[in-house]
Amino acid sequence: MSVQTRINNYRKTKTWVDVMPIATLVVLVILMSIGSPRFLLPANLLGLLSQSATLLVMGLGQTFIILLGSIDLSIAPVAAMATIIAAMLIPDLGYGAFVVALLYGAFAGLLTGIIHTKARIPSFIATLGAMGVWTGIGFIVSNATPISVSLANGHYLTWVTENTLGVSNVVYLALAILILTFVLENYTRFGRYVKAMGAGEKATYVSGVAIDRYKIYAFMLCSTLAAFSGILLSTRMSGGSARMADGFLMKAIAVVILGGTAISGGIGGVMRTFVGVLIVMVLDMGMNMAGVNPWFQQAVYGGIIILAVALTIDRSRISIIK
Amino acid sequence: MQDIVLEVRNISKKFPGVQALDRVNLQVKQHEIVGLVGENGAGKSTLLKILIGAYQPDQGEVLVRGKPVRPRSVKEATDFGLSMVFQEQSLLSNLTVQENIFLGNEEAFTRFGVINWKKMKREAEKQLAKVDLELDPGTYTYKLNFATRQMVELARVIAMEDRTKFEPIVILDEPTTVLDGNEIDLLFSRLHKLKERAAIIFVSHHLEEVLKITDRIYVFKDGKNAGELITRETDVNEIHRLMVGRELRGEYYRQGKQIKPEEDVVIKVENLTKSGKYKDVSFDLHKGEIISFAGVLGSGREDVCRALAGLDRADGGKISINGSKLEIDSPSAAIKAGIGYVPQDRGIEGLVLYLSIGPNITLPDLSNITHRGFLSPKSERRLAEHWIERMSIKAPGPNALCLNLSGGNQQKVVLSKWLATKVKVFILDHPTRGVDVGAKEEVYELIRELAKQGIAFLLIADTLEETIGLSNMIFTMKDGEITNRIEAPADNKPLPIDLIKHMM
Repeated sequence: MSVQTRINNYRKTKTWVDVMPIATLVVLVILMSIGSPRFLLPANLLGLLSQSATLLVMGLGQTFIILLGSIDLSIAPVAAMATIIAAMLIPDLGYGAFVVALLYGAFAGLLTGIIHTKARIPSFIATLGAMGVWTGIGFIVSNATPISVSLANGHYLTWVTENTLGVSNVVYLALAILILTFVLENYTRFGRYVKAMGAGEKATYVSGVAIDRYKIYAFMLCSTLAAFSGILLSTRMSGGSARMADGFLMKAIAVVILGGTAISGGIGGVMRTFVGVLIVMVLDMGMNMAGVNPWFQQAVYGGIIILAVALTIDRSRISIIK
Repeated sequence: MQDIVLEVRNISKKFPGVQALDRVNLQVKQHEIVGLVGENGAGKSTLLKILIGAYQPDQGEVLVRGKPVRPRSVKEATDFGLSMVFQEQSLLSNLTVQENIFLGNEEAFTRFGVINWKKMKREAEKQLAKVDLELDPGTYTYKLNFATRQMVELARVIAMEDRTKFEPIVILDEPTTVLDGNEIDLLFSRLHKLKERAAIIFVSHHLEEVLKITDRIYVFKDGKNAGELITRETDVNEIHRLMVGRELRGEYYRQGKQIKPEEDVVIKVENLTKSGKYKDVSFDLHKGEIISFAGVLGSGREDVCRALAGLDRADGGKISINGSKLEIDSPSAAIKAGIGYVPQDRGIEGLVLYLSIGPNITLPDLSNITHRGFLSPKSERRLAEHWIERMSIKAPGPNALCLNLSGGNQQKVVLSKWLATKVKVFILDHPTRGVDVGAKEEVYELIRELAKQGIAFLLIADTLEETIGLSNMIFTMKDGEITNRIEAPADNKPLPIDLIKHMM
């Protein structure tokens, strides 16, 4: 392929990727509001948003990993472990339990990050292994039974579950994380280096960037946010369980890709992931209203991931797909 | 009268910013070896890629045995009898010799989807015999030395004549770069034999080799035909004059602006050694000085430069800056020491092509645009605009992706990114590769100007002329050692032959 057609293709895919997610969202919203006049009511939208908060937080972390051109498959079990840690430690540590859960997340990311960079194991395998390890440990620690937070300790959960000005706190928290990651992505060297590594790792290395260190940071951020989403889950469910985050992995990857972040790395960002979450939110609601059964919904998201990648991938950048 | 087996008529090909080929013509007759020579960027590779179907020409046609063809893939080109032995060897080292020879053409040995290995082996032996190679076709390729691999490649290319039922047209792209003297002789004797059953296009930088092996020679310059010569009626000087085609001693390399380096030593290198690569390399680089390394592939000159850039650590020796010893074990250590590396592979190591100009310039040092711990897009934009103007980078604006810039403008972005970090030393690894003629002169002008400001350069140039034209001092290298140090003041430049005799 000549240089010129490569450039043309790039331009095409770029605009395509820029417009598609928003266009999809608009079309879906229009369809939904025709189907159900209640859909656009603020109360309904806020309700939807609070249900999507966990997914948003998880997807925001994954965005950085996909920007690197890598993938983190361990986020759901890490989130589940965080629910277990929080539920188990609240009686002793109170709010400290949440801090421990977050530290656990950072540690899990540090571990996969080190394994991926220092042992030079592809992220796909390193995090697949971590997924197995944390799932197993989650079942062992929790004795494979859900742990609930007693009513007496319920006041430790209200910082997430209560409403402020009529809006659930979980919505504020998720939006705060969105802003935080947006700043990280666009106004810090960490964000800059992640994008540069994803778009051209060798040139970034030659420019003197400590590649391994920033990759490890990215995995720590992703896992910490996964643990935070676990905390949000545990407060809403008043407990923890090794299965609490089941099904989140595929959706968390789907929102990143649907938003238009390229799996080849370097292009995309957290705002796109936000759009991706809104799309999934509306789709979820649509499918629920239409009475589509949950197993079929799972299949739909699997299909959506493949379709979204098929539409957005810039094949000229990857000559051989493995 | 021999038949013309391959004819190239008025082929043109344009890339963004570069007319790679401009109505070139070429004919190859039966049982003939035709040489194709030209400087880097003369269009040789582009033409070869068109012939084997990797590129499509914008205009003109290719005729094989009188019939117009337009191969769209390497496989299609092979069906027309056109095949190439690649510069970077294309054998798969994890497969056996026979598997490599028949890769992609296993049908002949396959029944019901199962390969008959015995039959393949017999056929492979037959093909190897054609190039006089006695070798068990079941040997894994990684066990072979480069010269033998080259022969296997040749056998692979010739093997197709059995399928196409006509004599092959074999293209050899720089076949001797990885071979030593004896191996080259061996290759040549085999090519002489091969000539009786094929037509050959021989591409090489080594004019002596081209003179030795070919019957006729085509010279390309800046994408155009610059001459067609009968080998036994010409010599190195004539070819050379046609290749370069301009007054060498003139102002092309801005020799009028060449300065005498200052006394201060910027980098002192003592006995730098890496086993198997280079040995006891010592030199002083002075403020404002341009030192070139001249040598063939494998001379170790690239490795020395990469060691100083922090990309490939030396085993022994000492590098010191201002008298203090330095450990350059990573690019960031090199950058801290004030060394900027302009790599040969601009699109991979030089720039992040999918980022725009601003982020590429600020990548080595974000502190320029950091305010209170946060990056300032506004400062970044200003900085990018400054360098775009300062280096006259032709781009729509700071947000233009580097991918969409021409080679010369990309190179200016690479230079800007290092200048923004205030480097004291530039390591230039083929800085004008893939840069068109006009932009080359701009790069030369810039190098002179920066040298005047006291920046020192280590240079690996694209051609000997560039080496001689730009440098204050030339080190010839051979087998990892500096063989001679030749001064090259503006008024008394050495001749290419003075360098070559210390390189071979």
